[in-house]
Amino acid sequence: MVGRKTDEIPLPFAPFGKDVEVVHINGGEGMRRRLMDMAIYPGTKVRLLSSFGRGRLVVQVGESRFALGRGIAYRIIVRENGR
Amino acid sequence: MGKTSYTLCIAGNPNSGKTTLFNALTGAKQHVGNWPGVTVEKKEGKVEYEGLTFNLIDLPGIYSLTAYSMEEVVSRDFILKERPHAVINIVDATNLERNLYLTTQLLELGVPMILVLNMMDEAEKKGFRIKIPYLEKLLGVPVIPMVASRGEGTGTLLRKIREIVEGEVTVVPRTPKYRKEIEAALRNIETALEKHLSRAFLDLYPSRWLALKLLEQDEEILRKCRKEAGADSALFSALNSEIERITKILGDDPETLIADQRYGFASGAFKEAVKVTIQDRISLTDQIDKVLTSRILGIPFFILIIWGSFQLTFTLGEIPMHWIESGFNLMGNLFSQWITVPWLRSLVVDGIIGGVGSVLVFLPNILILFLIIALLEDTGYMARAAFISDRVMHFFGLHGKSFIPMVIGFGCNVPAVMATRVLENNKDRVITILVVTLMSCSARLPIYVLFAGAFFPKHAGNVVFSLYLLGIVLAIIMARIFRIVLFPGESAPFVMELPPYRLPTFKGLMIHMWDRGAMYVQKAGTVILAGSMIIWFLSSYPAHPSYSMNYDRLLQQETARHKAALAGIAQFVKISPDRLAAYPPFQACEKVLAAYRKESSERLKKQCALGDVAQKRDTALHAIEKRYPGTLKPFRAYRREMERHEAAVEELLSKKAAEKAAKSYAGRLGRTVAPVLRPLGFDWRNTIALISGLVAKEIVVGTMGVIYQVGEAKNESQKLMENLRKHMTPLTAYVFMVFSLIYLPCIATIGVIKRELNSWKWTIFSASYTTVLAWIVSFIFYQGGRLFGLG
Repeated sequence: MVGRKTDEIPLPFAPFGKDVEVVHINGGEGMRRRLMDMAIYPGTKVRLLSSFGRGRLVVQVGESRFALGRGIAYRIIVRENGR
Repeated sequence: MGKTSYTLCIAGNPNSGKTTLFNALTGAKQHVGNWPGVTVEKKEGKVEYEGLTFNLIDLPGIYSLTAYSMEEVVSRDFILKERPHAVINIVDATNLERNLYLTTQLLELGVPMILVLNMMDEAEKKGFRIKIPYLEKLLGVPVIPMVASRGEGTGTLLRKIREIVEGEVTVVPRTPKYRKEIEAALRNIETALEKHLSRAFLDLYPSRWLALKLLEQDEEILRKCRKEAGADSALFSALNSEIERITKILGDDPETLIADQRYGFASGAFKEAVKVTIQDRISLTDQIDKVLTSRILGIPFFILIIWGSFQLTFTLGEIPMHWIESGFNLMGNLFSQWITVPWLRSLVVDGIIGGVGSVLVFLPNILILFLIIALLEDTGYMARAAFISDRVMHFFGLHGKSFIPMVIGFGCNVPAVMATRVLENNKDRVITILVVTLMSCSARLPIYVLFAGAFFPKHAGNVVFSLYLLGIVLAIIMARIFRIVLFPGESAPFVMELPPYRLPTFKGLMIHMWDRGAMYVQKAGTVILAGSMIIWFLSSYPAHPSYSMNYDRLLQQETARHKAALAGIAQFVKISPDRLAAYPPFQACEKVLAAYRKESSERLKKQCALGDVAQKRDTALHAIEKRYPGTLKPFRAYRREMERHEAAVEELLSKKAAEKAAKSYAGRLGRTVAPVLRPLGFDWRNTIALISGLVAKEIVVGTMGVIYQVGEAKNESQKLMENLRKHMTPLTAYVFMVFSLIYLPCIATIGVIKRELNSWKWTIFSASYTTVLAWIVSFIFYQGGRLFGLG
């Protein structure tokens, strides 16, 4: 968490409907592996579609969409691309 | 000819149409079971093709071949150990890039493989143009386009399978090449493997794959190698130095690098072989999701669906349930007429027919429920329902998908336990099954109705509601406790795919429903049948206990007395005794009385005064007296005698039945166990009723009737309530309801728990923890109540 660049934000703060790039995952082995199987890992593009109340987020990754718990979503650090 | 039977398996991502393909190939010739030792479902089927037999295994849906989940381990082990003649990797053509990630890992296993591109029609609509021959060249395996839901392409697939298994075509899968640092490390590890591991062990796995898995730090493979080579083998120091080197040079751990390159390989293959002609179209799924998972409509729609499922399962299921019940009753009556030997009659009618009936009576509920579940799963709504309810359920220590079993539990615990199949995670399933039995099922309702009616007539509704609430609260508490005690550690992060909405196929729904029904009858049915038979035996044997009175002689005496009394009356009216019932003046009087009874009961229902009805009766009787003088006096004596006789016989018979119940094995068991339940305020009668309730909880009411010597009279429940009030206090009655709610679910539920968890350990745990919990909660209620001066 130290020295994080200002344009790098946790996924729940990302704007809706816009592609953002995953830069880092703050999580244990299990979580990283699980996300990796869903193709969520540093370098991939994800898009926040919606959030349900204060709970789950829906994320588009490639052609698939996933529901993510908010806890896990906070550990996915993303960056809005310059363009 | 050589061997003509080949083993094949289908592997693929969840929602890629695996099961649809499996159904398309095997039809109804399939068998559902469990993988040994785990709750993961194993589906097997047979395909006959041109004189060959293909044994087809449907592997669980997986995203990857790491050892992260039970499903992945099962799939990987199957491919490595069983060495199927070919692996059919099915991928969703509309989502090819991600699906190919698993494909690359399957390629690395080095087994003969066929890639099936499913849902080609949708992919084309989406604007994907897939160059099949090119993809074949890139991956080194045959690629077959299909639309599994319509069975399109099965012929080509089967032909290709035949070519491969018969050796006409050899498949050489192409695997991703990694960066040169990783490739070098792989070579070094392979050399180390040759040196430190036995030949027999190495023959089990492709050596490059083994090296890759070690570099990825795959726990399962590490454990196996440690066991084989010894934990301090030089193999591991060599491995660790390779990992360190790579991490230092490339700045990331090998695991991430390897995964990254696999995705790179998948995405490269996708980009080269697929041309996307249309871009960024708002899909139907988007539009449906905007409504169904929206903040405003999401929850109301969810509740509507759940409510509808419950209603359909139980309201619609009730109709065929009645057919089954009356069918078995009819059969029971027929057999009891045919069979004259009492013990054999009891065995066939009460034991066998009753037992089979108790198994089949749940079948309509199960079939309807699983049709609905299949519909929800196949359309894609199930994932949304879990998404919506997960936050609340998670708070209780459960998963979003636990919601449906929990709700179904209010109807019947048996289908509820089976409905936990929607949960993929083993821990979630175990916890949900353990607490779902605390949901107050409809079989417990008759107990509440009886006791609440007898002891709390003014507040019956509230009392019954309090029990439902108690069940829910206990389920929540227990779920949290189990989560902490039985499965400590961080719960799995909530990541779930929301598959696109699709129309389910009729065939798929039917097969799913049929599978569940057959499984229930075969597997759970045997346990339920055996259990019912045991309980039947315990409660009806010994058939002739030594009674405290000679009931048969007393009955004979009563009959003799009755005959003499009737003879006296007959003499008075000067006809022979056996024509007394057909004596016209008496018959006329009986008619008047019958009419009076009918009218007065109608009046009572409407709560009107009876004055004029009684007057009408008296006028009619007097008219008869005028016509046949001297009738009324003997008729009244006759009536009195008939009633007296009926009451006497009934009393003797019910006393006998009660004594038989008390002296049966179940009764003796009840008396033995009774001291344990005394601190809860229960006597031996309550204990026997509770034991009989193991078959099905509503039987408690019937047993209560037998034990409290209530015969088959019309006002049975009224009389039973009176008797109950004599023996129990409102406090013990409430505690009895509490105990009935919580203790050991019925035999049928135990049967399906055994079937679903595939473990006697958990089954016994479920049965014993509920009983202990029932005792503790009842104890608190009873002793607490007494402290406050109740009871």
